[in-house]
Amino acid sequence: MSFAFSTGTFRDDYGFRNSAEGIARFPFPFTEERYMYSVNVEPHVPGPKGSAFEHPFDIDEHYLAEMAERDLVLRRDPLRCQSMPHMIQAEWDLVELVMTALARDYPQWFHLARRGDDWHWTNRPMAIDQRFTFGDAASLPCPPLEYIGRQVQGDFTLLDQREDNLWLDAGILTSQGKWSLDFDLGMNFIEWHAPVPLAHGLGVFERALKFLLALRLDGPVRRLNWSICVNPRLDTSLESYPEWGPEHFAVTPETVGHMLQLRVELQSLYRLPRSNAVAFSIRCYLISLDELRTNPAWAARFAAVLRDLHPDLLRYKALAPYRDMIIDRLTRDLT
Amino acid sequence: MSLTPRPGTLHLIVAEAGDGLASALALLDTAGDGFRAAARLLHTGEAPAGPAVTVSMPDEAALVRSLTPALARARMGTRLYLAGGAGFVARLTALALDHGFDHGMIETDVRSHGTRRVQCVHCKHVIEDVTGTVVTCDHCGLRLGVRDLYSRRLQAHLGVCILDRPAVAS
Amino acid sequence: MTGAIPVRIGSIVQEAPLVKRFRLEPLDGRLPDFSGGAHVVVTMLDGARGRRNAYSLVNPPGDPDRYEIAVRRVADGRGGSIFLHDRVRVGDILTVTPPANLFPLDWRARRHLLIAGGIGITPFVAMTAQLAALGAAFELHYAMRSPLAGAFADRLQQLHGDAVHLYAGSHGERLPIARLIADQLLGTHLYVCGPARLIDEVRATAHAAGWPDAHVHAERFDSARPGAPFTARLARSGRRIAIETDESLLEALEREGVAIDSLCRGGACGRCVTSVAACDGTIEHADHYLSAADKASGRLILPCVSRVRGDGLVLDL
Repeated sequence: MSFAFSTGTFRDDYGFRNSAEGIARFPFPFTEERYMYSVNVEPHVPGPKGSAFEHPFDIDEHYLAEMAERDLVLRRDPLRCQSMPHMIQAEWDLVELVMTALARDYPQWFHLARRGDDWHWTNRPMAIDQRFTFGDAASLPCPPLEYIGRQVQGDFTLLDQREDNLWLDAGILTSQGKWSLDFDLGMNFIEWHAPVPLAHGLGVFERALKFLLALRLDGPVRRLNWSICVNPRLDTSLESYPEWGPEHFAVTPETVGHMLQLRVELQSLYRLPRSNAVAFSIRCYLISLDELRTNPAWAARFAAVLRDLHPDLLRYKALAPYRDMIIDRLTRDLT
Repeated sequence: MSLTPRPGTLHLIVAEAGDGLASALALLDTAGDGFRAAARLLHTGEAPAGPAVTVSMPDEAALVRSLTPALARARMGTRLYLAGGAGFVARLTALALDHGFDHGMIETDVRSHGTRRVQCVHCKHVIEDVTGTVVTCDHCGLRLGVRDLYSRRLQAHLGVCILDRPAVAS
Repeated sequence: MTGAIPVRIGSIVQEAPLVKRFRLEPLDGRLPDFSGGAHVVVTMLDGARGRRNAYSLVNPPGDPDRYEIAVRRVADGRGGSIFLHDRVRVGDILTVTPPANLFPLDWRARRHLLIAGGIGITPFVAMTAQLAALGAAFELHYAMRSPLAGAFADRLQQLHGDAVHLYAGSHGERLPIARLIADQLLGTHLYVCGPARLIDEVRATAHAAGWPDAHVHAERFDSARPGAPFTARLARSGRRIAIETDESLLEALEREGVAIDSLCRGGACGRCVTSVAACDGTIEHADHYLSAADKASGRLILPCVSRVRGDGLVLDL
């Protein structure tokens, strides 16, 4: 695939735009006219060529723009990347997982040479040439989780598996949707999902947890999550809510087309070999309503989903104020 | 949540004067002889009347100075029971965790009279004794909505700023 | 079987009178890395009979170029260990599953106390290697029938010196369980593997001494015992299958091409739990996973280890 890396921004002037190719490969999440919570995981196996699912870790046209945004967020708020001391092995496991995948899938950009514990990593787009000792944190310029997190798109959490539960004991989160790593750090799977409505009564989280506890080394899984977002703002953390929250009030029928984004999270989960922990990648894709409208089938399907959405979900996804505006914008001029 | 006796080799019971001490005494009362023989009760405020042998400290600072060596010496099989206000329990939990205890070894009875500790997610300051669901952060001044989500690590509820709709829509 | 890795027997070493260590080498490529305490399930083809047993990995984790398992020969079992001891030769090809870990180390521990009885030593061989490589504090207490019977005892002592304590039953040496449990650094985690008797005693002693259950980890090495043959009907397909004396219900189902997910093959992890549609006979639960209520309800069975007396079993498959 050949393209230029975009120079979009995810704050201030919001210069972020998808190219036509970016729109075409957007992971549109709605396969039916109705949407309801389910575990809906599937094996994270290679998808169609050129799609967001082709490789386990997807590098797209927004790579450099997102890495610059991540750097900005971390400099302003170091608590967005934290790791409890016992997670250091899991951090190294993640370094291996991501480096081997990127070097294999994007050899034009990434290269990894390893001789025992002597590793040599090259990241051409970011002009990084790093020799280091695998397992020796002093040989990297920053802790392993932060080091690799600054070079791959998507947030990561590392989940320690113990006591028949998964514990959120490390993470790098600069593009999360309305939660705080610092607040949730140390919680288990059931605790950190407490705010999600409806799903608890259905036992969705108990089943999901059981499934993830059984995650095998050779069997990563993925699922899609979706929400809406005002402006292509990646950092929608609770910490920075005073910055992005007020922007919601500027959404009007005139502005909704370019301001309102469908935000899709491609979530993938991997069993890690040395620590036995689970790595959780949360990779965000944004598309504005006007960009979405260029695909009439998608526009019609999204409108249908919104018409039918359960009131609790409408509330949880903060859609209620915009629903009619969105449907109107999506279905205007469509027969 | 009142305290229940657990199996253990040593039981360290630490209580704040008032409701906390009452809870600790109730624990000793209902537990068996074996438990009492292996238990030590350390608390602020005056020593209570009655048969229980306790160590009373004038204030929390003195209590902490007295307790710290015992925490440092503790071996596996030690159980910790904390009773008092939310702030007291949170500070002593943090002290115990610093000495190698984990939550599975600590029982708590928080007597907070309906108040909660709240962490301002924006500036990370923890606000004590919050009643109701709205509070102004006394560090950064933001007006916060208090959520039910609770962090055992921070021993506090989540506080997220409430935005006011602008008076004139743009 | 998804993810099955073909391996060649590289060497077979007698570690102790009844214990052989098998070195399994990949046919091509690298083997997935693993964490101490992990196991693989070995598929053995004995003519038309397929057997699958779980064995702990004993080689050190960290970029492994082979897997090593240690197998104790059990005379009155289903025959898997006899097959490996008596019939398998260097150069033979077997398949193994990628490693999975049901007995992992707890990385928050300030210290690790490892207690092994007999062949229960095997997961600790890899765990001590991983702990030593990380510079983590640990001590291992290993009870063996006699010095000769203690597989890996010499090697462990050479590698880890004072951290290893050996107890030979033939010399009247006994694991000082109560003493060990009574005096451990706060933040220690305890791991026990060996006969059921040992596990029960360690668990009970630790619990009574006030150790939180989350600090006590156990791995049982049960596997299916042979038993009287019986038959089962599959409710959805109507098929009838016959379970022989020396095969488990799970193995019989696999033989008949019925896919059941499994992991430990020893009644501990619950992965193979199957619904019972009806049962005229008596379910003989041999697992350690189902609750007493579940066992009494007669609606669930773990086919890896449990059997039925009588012919009335109908499975919801």
